[in-house]
Amino acid sequence: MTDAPQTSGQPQKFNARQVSRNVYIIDFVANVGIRVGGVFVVLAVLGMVAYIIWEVKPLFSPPAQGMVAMEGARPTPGRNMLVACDEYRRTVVRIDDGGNAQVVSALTGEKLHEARLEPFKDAGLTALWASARSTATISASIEASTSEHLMVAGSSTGEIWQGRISYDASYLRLPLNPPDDLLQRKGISPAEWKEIRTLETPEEQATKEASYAPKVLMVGSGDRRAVIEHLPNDFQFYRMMGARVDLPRKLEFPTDGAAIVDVGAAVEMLPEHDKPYELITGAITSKGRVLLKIENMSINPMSDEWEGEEAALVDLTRYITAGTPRFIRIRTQRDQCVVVTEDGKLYTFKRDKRDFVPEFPVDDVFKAVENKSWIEHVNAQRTGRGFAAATGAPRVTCVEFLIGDITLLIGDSLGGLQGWFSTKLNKDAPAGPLNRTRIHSPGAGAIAAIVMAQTQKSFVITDESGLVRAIHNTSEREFFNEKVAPGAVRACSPLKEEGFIAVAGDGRLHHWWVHAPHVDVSLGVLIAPVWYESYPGPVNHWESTTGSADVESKYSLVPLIIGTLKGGLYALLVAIPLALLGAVYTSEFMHRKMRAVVKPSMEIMASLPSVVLGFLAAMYFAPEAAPRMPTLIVAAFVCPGFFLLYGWMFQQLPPSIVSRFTPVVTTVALFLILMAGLGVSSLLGPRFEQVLFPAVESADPALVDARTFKPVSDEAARRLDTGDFRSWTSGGAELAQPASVRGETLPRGWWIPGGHTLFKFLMWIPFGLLLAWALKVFFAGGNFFSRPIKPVLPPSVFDLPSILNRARGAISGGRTAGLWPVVVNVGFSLAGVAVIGALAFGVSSLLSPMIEGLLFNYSHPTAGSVADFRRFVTGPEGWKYTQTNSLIVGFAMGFAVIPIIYSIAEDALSTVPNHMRAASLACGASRWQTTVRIVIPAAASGIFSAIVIGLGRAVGETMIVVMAAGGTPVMDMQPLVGFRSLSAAIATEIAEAADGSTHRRTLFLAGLVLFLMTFFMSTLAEFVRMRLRKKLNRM
Amino acid sequence: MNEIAETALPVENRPDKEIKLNLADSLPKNGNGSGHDSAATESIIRVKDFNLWYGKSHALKNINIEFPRNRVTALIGPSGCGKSTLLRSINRMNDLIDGIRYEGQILLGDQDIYARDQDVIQLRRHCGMVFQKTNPFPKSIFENVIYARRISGENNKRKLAEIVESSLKRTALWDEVHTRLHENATAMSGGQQQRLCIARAIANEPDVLLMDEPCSALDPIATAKIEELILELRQQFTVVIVTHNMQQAARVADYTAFMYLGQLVEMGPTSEMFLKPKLKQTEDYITGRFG
Repeated sequence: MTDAPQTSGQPQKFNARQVSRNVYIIDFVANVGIRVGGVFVVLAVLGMVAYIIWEVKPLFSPPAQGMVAMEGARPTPGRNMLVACDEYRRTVVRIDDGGNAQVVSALTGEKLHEARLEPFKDAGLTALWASARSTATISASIEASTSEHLMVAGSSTGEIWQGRISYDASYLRLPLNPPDDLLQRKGISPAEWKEIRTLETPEEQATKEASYAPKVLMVGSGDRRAVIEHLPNDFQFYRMMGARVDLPRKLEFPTDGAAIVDVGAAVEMLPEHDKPYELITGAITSKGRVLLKIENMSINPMSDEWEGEEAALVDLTRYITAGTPRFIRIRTQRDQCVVVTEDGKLYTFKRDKRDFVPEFPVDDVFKAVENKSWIEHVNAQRTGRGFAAATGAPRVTCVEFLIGDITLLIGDSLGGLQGWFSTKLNKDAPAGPLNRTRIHSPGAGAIAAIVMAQTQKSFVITDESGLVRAIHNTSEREFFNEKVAPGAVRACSPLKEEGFIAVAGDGRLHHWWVHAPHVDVSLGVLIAPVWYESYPGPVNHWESTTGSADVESKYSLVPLIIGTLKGGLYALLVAIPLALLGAVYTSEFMHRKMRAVVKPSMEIMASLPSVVLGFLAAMYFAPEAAPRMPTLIVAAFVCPGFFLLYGWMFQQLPPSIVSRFTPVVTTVALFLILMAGLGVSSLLGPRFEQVLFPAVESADPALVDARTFKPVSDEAARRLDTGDFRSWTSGGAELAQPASVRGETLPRGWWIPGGHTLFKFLMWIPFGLLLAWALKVFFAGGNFFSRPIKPVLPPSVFDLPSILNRARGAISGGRTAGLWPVVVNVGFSLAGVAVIGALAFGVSSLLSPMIEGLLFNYSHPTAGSVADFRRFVTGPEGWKYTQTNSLIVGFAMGFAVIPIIYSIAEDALSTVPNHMRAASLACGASRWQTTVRIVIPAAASGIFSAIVIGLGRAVGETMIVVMAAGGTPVMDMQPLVGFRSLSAAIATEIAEAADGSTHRRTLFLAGLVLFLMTFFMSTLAEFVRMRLRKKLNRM
Repeated sequence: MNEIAETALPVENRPDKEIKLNLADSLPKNGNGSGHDSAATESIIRVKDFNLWYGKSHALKNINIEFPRNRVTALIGPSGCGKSTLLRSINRMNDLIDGIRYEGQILLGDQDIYARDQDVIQLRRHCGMVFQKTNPFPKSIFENVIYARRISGENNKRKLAEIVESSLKRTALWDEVHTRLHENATAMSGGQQQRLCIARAIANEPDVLLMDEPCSALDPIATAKIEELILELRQQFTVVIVTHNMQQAARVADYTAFMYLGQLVEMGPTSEMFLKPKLKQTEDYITGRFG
């Protein structure tokens, strides 16, 4: 206040002291800048969430579909046996029962060419089978390729012919108006180059994948007519597509002229040359003969045709004991053949070199479902869908393998549809060679055709009512459901490139496109257990396979979420005690000067990159810890015990000695105690391992007497006299001798008679506590659920405390000062604990085998009933061990989380006002009491928010989990196996997930889930912290 | 422990001056309005040649003083004269400050509280303390009062309830708060909080009650209530009160000690100190000529 107010009568200028303009400008700029920054931060976060949601949304959006007009299509004279199309859905092949093969344009329906197949000039075509997948793709050059599908046909006269459907695609580089000589060189006469039609296919307009309008033309004449299509990405490229059907080879089957009812085939192609290697053809005749022919294949170099040399002809007829065989299917792997009779008997045959042998039991396709007969079950489902109940006995109408040849789909005359595959069942139900694992929703009429998709586990089914449905086998999503024709839909082309061509009973073709790129994922797949192929039961599993359509992708987020939480939990199990006790010690007990060093160094620890931690954990800590697991487990008990012992002994010391402990001495003493704890643990660990988990890794079962479980010789005893924790918990190898008795597999070591030791040790502590309490009650009385118990030997009768006191006094010689009384005191107490401990161990040794026998009994193959608790710890259902496990991640991630929790918790403790502590101390509280009763409760919400923020960090932590968690998406919380977290899945898989694929979108969904989890945790922590601030303000 | 150290202001050096007070001579035969006879006024706390340093600053210089039993003794003096430090030396609250050093003796009864084997926790249970800033724990009123009892292991619910009732009655809080004993103490008014702190201190049945400017943060009405309370408490406890307020000292104290720059200047019955101080310095301070 240097400016004294002027006292003259003049009106005083208000703005006497000019405020610099800069102040206003800076204030304005800062104001605007901060606001803009804040808005941008919010927008950035919202933008990221919006982008993730935009990426995820198509997973759940409904499929799009539409019809492609095929006005030009004319019905064939006979009944259609087969419809097929090329992978671009431009040419359609249809074959009728008169042996007419017709190729039409899929976009216009106009006939490209038609021919009667040579073998069926005089006979009807009664059975036809074509592989859903191309068996060979022959690329003559980059300009032309042919994809071939194996086809087998059977005639009414009992002949079987093998051939192929081939689709040719050649790429022409032509100017838009090609000169005549160029066309001639390509084999097209100039007169034929005329535009028949220009089309914009509707699905290409509707779907974003192909947002172009191709010109589709037809060229050629006679047999050489083909569809030619203008490719979008280069104006000069045309794709010419045509199709052919050949049946060049007759297979000799002893059919005796009986009509062929069904055929099936499987071929192995040599991958490098697309040459056939082995062909198995199966046929069923109208007289019920079931024949299989195994041929070794080659290609005739002159004619370029397949040639076969018969290796075996297997007649399976004698195994078909009931029913008329109607369907035969052979797995592409050529190891199994399935024959289904019309009334639903399911016979399976296993390959045995050059033979097929029956597998038992023979199953019934129409067996009851959960105490309901098949017809009742289907009708219940049918009425649920609004269809009329079906009547009559069920007949099998369709049998087809799903892509990958694992699941066998069986359709019946009721409209019922079921999936079977080979697996061990979880349930006790007897497992057949194939088991019914899936029942799809039924159709409106008898199933007419089941056709597989080529690139995923989907299929199209048609039924007699004209209903066509497309269903994904894994997710059970029905992504197409239309009544495409008034009558029955007899056959259908495979689901290729998002569309199919169905042929109605009247011979009309119906071409539909379906855009459903993400049908393999549904909400059910993401969160509920799904029964995947070959699995023993429904599971939640994450296994993204983008390479092959043969294996189902497993997109359950549950194991990832559990893995994420598991990682966070184990990190917190390590971090919370260390960080919180550290924070309490630093804030309340540590010397001021030490604190000035410790706190900043903890904060430096936070800046250690997590990839370094992960690297250390995976490359150093995990392999180092692996052989020392028992030591570490022992150390987890011994080290805290040592600290407690040290603290208790410190308390016993007289103040005159305590006052000599400077902060440095105290710290060094703590460090020495830790070292001593570790040292003792490393001595005890191997002993415990030897006693509790004796090694039998190298042990020949001959070393142990199978009946008495005793080592057979001294040498055997020596070899068995070490511990091996890892092999115990690594799932267990087969135990040759005893296991072979009943075919039961037991993990290693179960037959070693140390079985009771572990349980004895485990029961020691509860028995010890019980005993101590009982002794106390015996001499001094006590409370049992707040009901007082009178002492059995009250002090008036036998005063043990005073006797002990007198003894103590006698030994310490009446001295009260100095170290000697302390030594006596400590000695007495330790001796007391030792006596009670020894008594407790005795009691435990006596009682625990009985308890073990009652609770943990199992039946051993040779020894009968054996009580062994260990079986329940490390047995088949018990703990497993892998080197990179949750404990390792817990330590590494705990290390990453400790500084955060420590720092926030320490701040929370330090902000508790000092007058609180002073008040407590002045009341006569010790520092520990002050800490526990006043400081920690006052800082509780801060400590809680520290833990939640630490959990948030652990949940989002990626690199440590990627490197040290092993990456297996297991579903349990066991400490000695790894896990896969959301973040690790994203980090490792996003690079290999194709743009726009289900896998990629699912990973984005995983990211969204992770975001929501951390968002929830941070919000909770912030909310709690705000409450803390309010509470502290009131103090 | 910065707030505890706040009072430890550096004291400027000054030639030491021996002030030896003979209580037997100076104690009044008839105290400041009190009806106690001289036989009851033996000393409970005796400070002998006590020196205290905060690091290098000499905060208490050769203090010799005795506090008579069941009397209120006020410590007055300008800021930084060491009166709070002396008060805190009595229950060893100064121990919490780093770099503290002391010489001499303080006897509680016949026990040297600075002896090596002295249990500080035990000592503090004998010397209750009330602070300048009201500092109830963020717990219920009930839990505040019985805090000292709880930490010394008393768990009998009936006994604890009795203690709460008697302590709150003695601090005249019972009628105000007995309906809301389990509400948070931090919601009370300032004066109530300070009386709660007193209740908390006396619930432990201490011998000595140390009060460090208990009314400096309170309004006049609350102050009057506390002063009334102090006069009540004199019946049972020996009270040592540090105050800046001369009138307060005159109103509540039987004896008054004047400290200046770490030294005890003069001590005597309050009436004497205020009416005819022996030393010019004391008179100057009391009459407001300096300080």
